[in-house]
Amino acid sequence: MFRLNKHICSIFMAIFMLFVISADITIAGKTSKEKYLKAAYINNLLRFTQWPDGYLNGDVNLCITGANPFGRAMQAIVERNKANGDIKLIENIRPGAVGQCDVIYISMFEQNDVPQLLIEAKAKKCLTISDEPNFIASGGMVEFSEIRGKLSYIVNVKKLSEAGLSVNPLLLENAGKVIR
Amino acid sequence: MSILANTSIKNRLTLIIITISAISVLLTVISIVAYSYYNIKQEMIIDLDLNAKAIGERNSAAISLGTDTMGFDDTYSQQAAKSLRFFKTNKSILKVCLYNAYKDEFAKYIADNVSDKACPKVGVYSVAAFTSKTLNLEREINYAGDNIGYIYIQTDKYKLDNFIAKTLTTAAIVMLVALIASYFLALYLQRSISNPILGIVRTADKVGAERDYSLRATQIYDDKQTHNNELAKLIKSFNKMLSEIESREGEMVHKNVQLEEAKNMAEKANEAKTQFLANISHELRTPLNSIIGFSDIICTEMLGPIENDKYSEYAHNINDSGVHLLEIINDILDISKAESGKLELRIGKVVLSKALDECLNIIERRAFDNNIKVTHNLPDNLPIIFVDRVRFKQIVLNILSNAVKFTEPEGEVILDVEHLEKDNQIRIDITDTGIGMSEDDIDKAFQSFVQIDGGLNRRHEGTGLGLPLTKQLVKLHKGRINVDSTPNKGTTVSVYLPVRSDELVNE
Repeated sequence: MFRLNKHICSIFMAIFMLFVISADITIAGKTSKEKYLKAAYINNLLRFTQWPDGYLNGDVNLCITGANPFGRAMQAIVERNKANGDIKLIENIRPGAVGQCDVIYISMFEQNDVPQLLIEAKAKKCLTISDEPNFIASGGMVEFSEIRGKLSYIVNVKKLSEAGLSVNPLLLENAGKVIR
Repeated sequence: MSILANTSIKNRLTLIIITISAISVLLTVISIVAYSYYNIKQEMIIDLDLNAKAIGERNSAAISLGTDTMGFDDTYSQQAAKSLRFFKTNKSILKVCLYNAYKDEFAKYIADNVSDKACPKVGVYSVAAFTSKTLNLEREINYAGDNIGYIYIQTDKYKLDNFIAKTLTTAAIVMLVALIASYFLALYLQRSISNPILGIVRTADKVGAERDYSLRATQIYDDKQTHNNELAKLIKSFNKMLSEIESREGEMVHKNVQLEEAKNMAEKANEAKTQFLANISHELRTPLNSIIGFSDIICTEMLGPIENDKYSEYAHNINDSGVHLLEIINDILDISKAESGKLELRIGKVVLSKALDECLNIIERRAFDNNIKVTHNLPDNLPIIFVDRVRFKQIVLNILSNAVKFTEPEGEVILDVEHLEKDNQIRIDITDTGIGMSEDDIDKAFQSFVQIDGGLNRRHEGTGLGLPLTKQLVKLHKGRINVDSTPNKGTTVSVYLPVRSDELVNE
């Protein structure tokens, strides 16, 4: 009886492991796609955003809180985008260091630092982007969010205007949501 | 130009004006059409380029997003394709193709009536290109200096074809109107040139037909006005020429009348002279025949011997002088008849060699008395000729007599005859080694009653009627006479006579 139970346990264990492994593969695929799409959106936001005349001098500093979550996807896309000059990627930005950024991506893992980072970003006319779910509500400019089952971006035009920035209406047409 | 050879000046001028007008209008129309054609093509290209640029810019964000999310999200290409469907309302747009920066097809719109639903590869139409039915254009889509992608757009050429059709129709109408207008204008304008010329032509024709030199071409301008153009001058000159001809003709008619009168008088005088000479000759011959006859009886002592030789000598002198005088009178009579056309020939067959022999026999005696040698060259095959036997011998004898008369003793006279078969003529050459003549003397020798000089006259007796009479006789025989002479060397007289002149034989 114990043996039989042992066999049944082994089978259930195998099934459980198979489920866990397949779920892990699905999550990994979904994560990779998300990374790629986010990198693409950031790239296009950079391309179609306009800073006040004479504000950007030469390179655009793209800051990321924590480590670069996009990997080579971001690097490849960024290399093509020359609309606002060469893009320089700066990782592990912490509150107090936003002054060197033109664009800042705030990872959802740094949600506690959001209020402070937004205050610093506003003073610097810095484009703020995040995948934190309440980022727009917190006063952020662009939030990555899943809308109708598809990863998209929400743009807060009002906040952009307050910072003296503007996004090409063509990009807004493709946004998941626009807040004016 | 040969087509215009028989065309009137009026039609020529009209044609010239119309041709020039037609060419001018044609060139103008061609220039305008060509310029407009070029402009409309450029305009189409610019319009299409602007359209392409606008469409490209309009879709730049979608293309950019679509490119970056390629493989994960095709929403943006669908959105772009949806926006391109707007062109369904524009029938002239046949194809619009959007490509990403990697030149991959991103979105497209193909009109329903286009069978080829494929987009061309980027780079096929590097510039705007017209095909037989379409205009194709490709351009980059750029945003802020970045190449976002490419756009290809194809339209039909309706605008261009429509322009060509309308322009050609308009051009044809303009040409037609211009030609009609220029025709009527030409008809009106050409009059100022053709009318004066035609007036001259009509006047010239009338003058030619009626011989009326009092006619004048009508002056086209008012006499009070002073016109100095070529046509006015031409008419003036033409009329002046007619006046000149009229005046000269008047003078000519007057002179002709005078000449006619003078000629009639001369003819009457000549006739009177001829008649007088004929009468005189006749009147002289009657007593002269008695003198010759009776002196001959005395010379031949027909009625008994003359005892005193002096009487016999005088009788011979009377007889010789009488005969000589009779010859002169006969010559005068002959030449008078010949000049008045009353000398008639009795044409008959004459054995040439025999007639010439007879002449030689007569002349040889006289030549012998003067110690002059007479030689001859008579070929065996001389033909029978159709001449007046008596007059023929008279011709030959006259020339031979002259040759002997003007040749010094121990000189020579040669008779040479040849049958010119090619011309069916005979040539009689009589050559002497006598005193000869200059060119001027030869002309004088053929004039009646003229002897070359006083010196000769004294040394060589004669009336000067021999050669003129001979010339008349040769002429009557339809022949000709030629004299070739060198002073102090001699003379050759050549007589050419037809062997048979149908004109003479049939008379």
